[in-house]
Amino acid sequence: MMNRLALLALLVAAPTFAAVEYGGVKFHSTVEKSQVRSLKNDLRYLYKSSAEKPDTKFLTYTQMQVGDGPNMHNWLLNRVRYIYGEKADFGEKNLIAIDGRFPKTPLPDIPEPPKKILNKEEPEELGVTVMSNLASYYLMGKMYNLFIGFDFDGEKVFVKSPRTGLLKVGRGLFLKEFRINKENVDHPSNSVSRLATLFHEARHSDGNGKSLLFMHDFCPADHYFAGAPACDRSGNGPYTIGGLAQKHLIQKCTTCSVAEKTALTAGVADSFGRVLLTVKNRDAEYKQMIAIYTQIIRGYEKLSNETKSEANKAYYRREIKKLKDVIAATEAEKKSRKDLVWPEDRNGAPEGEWTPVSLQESKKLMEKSLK
Amino acid sequence: MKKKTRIILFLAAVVLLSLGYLLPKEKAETTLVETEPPTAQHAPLESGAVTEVEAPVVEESPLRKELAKAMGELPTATALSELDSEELHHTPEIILKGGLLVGELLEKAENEPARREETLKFLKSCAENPEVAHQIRAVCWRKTLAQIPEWKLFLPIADADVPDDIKELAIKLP
Repeated sequence: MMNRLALLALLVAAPTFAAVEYGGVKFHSTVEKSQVRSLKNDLRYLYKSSAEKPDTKFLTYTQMQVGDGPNMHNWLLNRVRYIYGEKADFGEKNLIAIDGRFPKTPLPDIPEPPKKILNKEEPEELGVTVMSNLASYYLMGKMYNLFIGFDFDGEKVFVKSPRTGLLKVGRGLFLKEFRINKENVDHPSNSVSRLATLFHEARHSDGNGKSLLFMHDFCPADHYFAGAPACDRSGNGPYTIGGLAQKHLIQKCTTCSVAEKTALTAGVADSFGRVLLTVKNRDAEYKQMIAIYTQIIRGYEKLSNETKSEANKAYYRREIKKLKDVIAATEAEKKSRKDLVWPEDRNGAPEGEWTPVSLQESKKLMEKSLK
Repeated sequence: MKKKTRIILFLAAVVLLSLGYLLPKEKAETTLVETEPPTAQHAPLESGAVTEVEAPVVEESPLRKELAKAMGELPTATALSELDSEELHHTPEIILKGGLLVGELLEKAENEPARREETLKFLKSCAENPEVAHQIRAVCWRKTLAQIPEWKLFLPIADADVPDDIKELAIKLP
């Protein structure tokens, strides 16, 4: 009875609140106007990105054919459709549940927090919300055979698949201290940073069965984030996707300064550093290392030929020899090293009932918004 | 010869002999300094030419002080370990700040070639510093490798004390 009254109240009030739509993504009325403006700007920036300088790993892991704006936008739109604001209430009184039918796939293993964390006191204040994917309501529903849903400014949205694409954004995404360019919240460097976060969260809309939601793992004891649920054991999880998206977009940012690109690079290092284990086939990396050292040796050889000081010549030659030894050791290691492994990819295919958006459709939605 | 004159002549001889002994020794010392590390050659940059990084000097220049201060401001591994779980889901603010700081130094060096030598040494030191946060060390190492050929400077890196996992992370960065 209470639910019906609440629903009625919402339906009556519906004309007061209107979801804003941009490029196919709907923004709930709880998202602050300034945040909507920035996110629209980010989507526009993304859509207008060129196809030049594709990062091949980004294409591989996202399974995009082309790393241009329309394809990236389409990839996101198939995982992010509804964005709530920080103050949206997902309490019991706003929750709607109907009987649901789910695929007969196993539930993912929920990582057990280390004892150290279990015994840790809860912090007095929770951190500021940056962004979160609400796909966990699908998992919750699956456990009870219920589709859980919420009102979205008059539209009832049931999480019948993580691909329903419900996200929540908070002020953490826009705070000055988290910005790359402090003065302009809509500077391309900040768009790149926010878009990478969007790609990261969007990845949680993927997976099925054991890989459902691409849940994070607790970082091991020898990791600098030991004990925090902030690492990935999968090679194609959110930290990989977010890091690759950021790396891909840095290269396209023509107006980002050296300082801004370096700060964004630190973000990439942070993402990749949370992916546990290392690459099995490291031939490309070894080749790159050898090429870099070889280039440096050529420079030093030239210097050695040009210097008139015998003492300097001897010094340069010693360093050249050392670098050649490093190359030889790297070559040997390339052949023998088998113990380090980049984590295996998990199954990224989505689960549940959802309607995919074609590239043609997503382009239409975006072009309509750009007018 | 008067006694006084003999004494003066004797002292003069002692002084002259001392100088004679010192001068070659100075020359030898100079030669020793040149073998390692080398003295700078301030030849004008030609296209494709490589210049040498000047040997370290004893006094702290304003630039060195600036870089030393920056090193002290980089995020530390300790600071990272003290962050709350909530702060760790996305890139912590201190990492972004550290990246910006390194980037600002790079930008200054791009615009002022006189800063490049010391900046390059800073980048290498940052990568080698076990107190600095892992992510920033990786960025520093990546930039060290990128800037040596870019700025056409000499810096010994074969013996750099940078752990393998940081080198591996660095190679994945743009």
